[in-house]
Amino acid sequence: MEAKRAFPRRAPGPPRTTCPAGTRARRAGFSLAELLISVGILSIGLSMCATLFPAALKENERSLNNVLGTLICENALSLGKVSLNGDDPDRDDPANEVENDVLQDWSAKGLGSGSLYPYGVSGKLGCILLARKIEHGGYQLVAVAYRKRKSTNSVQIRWPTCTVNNGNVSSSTADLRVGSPLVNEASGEFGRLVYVAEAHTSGQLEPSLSFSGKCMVVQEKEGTAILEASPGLWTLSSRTGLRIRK
Amino acid sequence: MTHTPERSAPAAEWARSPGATGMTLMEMMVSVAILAGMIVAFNIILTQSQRVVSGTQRMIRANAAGMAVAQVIRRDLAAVSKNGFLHVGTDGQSGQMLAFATAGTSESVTGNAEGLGSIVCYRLAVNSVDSTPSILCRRGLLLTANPGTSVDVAGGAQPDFFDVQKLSADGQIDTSVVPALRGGLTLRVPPANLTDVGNLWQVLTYNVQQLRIEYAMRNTTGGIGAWQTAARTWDSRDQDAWPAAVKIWFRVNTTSEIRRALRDVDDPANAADYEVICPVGS
Repeated sequence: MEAKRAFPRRAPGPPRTTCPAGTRARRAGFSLAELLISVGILSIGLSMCATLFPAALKENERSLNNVLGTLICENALSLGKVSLNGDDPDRDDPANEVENDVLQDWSAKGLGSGSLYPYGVSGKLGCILLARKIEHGGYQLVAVAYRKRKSTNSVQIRWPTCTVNNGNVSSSTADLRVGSPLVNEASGEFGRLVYVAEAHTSGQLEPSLSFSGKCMVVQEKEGTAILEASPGLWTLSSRTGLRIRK
Repeated sequence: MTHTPERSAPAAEWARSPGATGMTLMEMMVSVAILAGMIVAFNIILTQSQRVVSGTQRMIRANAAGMAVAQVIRRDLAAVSKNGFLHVGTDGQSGQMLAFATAGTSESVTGNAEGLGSIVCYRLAVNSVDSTPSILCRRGLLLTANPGTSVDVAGGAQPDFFDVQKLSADGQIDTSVVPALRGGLTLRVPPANLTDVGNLWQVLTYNVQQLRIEYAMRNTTGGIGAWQTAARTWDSRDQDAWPAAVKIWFRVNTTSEIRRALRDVDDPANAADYEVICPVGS
C-alpha cells in the first residue's frame, strides 16, 4: 500500500482542518449549471450597468442643446435688435408697427449672405424670433432656438388657444408637443412643455405658470406628419425700447 | 493511517452533497469560454463608455469655455464707444484680430486701477507648448484720464481716454494703436513659470483651431447686409459708417465621440463651433 503512493507522505505537523485525505472523492465543486446561473446573474448586472450609458448620453444631449440653444437665442436677439429696428422715416407710420408677429424664422432664410449659426440655414439648427408690443412703448422679443431631427424636416408654428393653470395646460386643438415652448401672446410669459398627453390637448408646463389665450407652440414636420417631440431647444426673452416696423 | 471522527466532521460540512463532484475539464472549458466571451463583451462596453466619458468631459469643457467667452465678448461689445474706434484686421501672425475702444467705468484685471474706458483686442496667440496659434486671448488696455497712466498692455502706444477719441482711422489708429496690439504674441498654457502665470489673464480659452471675425453693415431697408471679413478701421469721425453687428466665430478642439454617438452629423469632427453675434455699441 505504501509503495503505490504517488506522492510522498505528508510531513508531520498540526492536523489539517480542510478536506482530509480519504474524503477527496466526496469533495464537491460548482456544477456547470450553478456556474451558468451565476454567470447569468452577472450578465444581468452588467447589462443593467450598460443601460446607464444611454441615459448619460441623453443627459449630455440636453446639456449640449442647452448651451447651443442659449447661444443661438442670444445671437437671434442681438440680430433682432440690430436689424429689425428700422429707422427709415418713410415707414414711420404707427400703422406699420408690428403688434404680435413672428419677425424672423431663420429656418427658411439667412440674414444677408451669412447664417444665424454655422448650421442654422442648411442644417438642423435654427431660430424663431417673435416680437410683442408691450405697454409704455417698446417690444418684447422672444427667441426660440430649435434643432430639427433631419435637415429636410420643416418647422411650423401653431397658435392654439390654451388655458394654463399652475402649469397644467389644456389646449383647444391637438397641437401640444413635448419640448415645445409655450409662449402666451398676450402676456409674453413662456414655459416649456415637459409632458403632453397622448391626445396632444393637455400637458404640463414648466415653470408652473397661469395664463390663458392664444399661445405659440413649435412643431416639427417630416413630410406631412407632425413629430411627437418638438424641436424646441431653448427660449429667451428680451426687451427693446425701439419700435419695430413691418 | 486512520481518521478520527473529529477530523472527518468538518469535511462533511464542507461537502455540499454526498453525490456531488467537481466539474469535468469539458465543463470547465465551457464555463471559461462563456466567461471569456462576457469579459470581452464588457471590455468593449467599458472601452466605449470610457471614450464617451472622455468625449463628454471635453465637450463640457468646450461648452463651458464657449459660453464664458461669449459672455465676455457680449459684455465688451455692448460697451463699444463710437467715439473711439473699431478695427477688424490681421493679427500679424496668421489669423484675424478685432480691436475696439469702450467707454464707461472700467477696472484693470491686473491691478486696482480704474479708468474711463479701455481698448480691447481679441485674437489668437501662439501656444509656446506646441507652437500653434491656438489660444483665444483678450488683451486689454485700461484708458485713464491722464496721459501715460494707461495700464495692462506693455509697450506700444499708451494713449489716454481722450486721446483715443481724437485718433483717426487711417492715421494714428492703424499706425500706432493697432500695431501695439498686433505682432507676435506667444503665451503658454499650461504655464511653466510665474511670467506665464502672469500672462494668463489674457487667455480666454485654449485648444482653438480657428478664429473668424466678420462684420455686417446696415442696409437701406433697415436690416443688415452680408457678413464681411475685409480689414477695416472705423473712427469717431464717421459714426454712421460703423457696422451694425460683429460676428466672432471660433472652433474649439474636442474629441467628438459624444457628438457621433448622438448622430450629430452636422458637427465637424473633433471640434465644436461657437458663434457670437453682437450689435455694435448697444
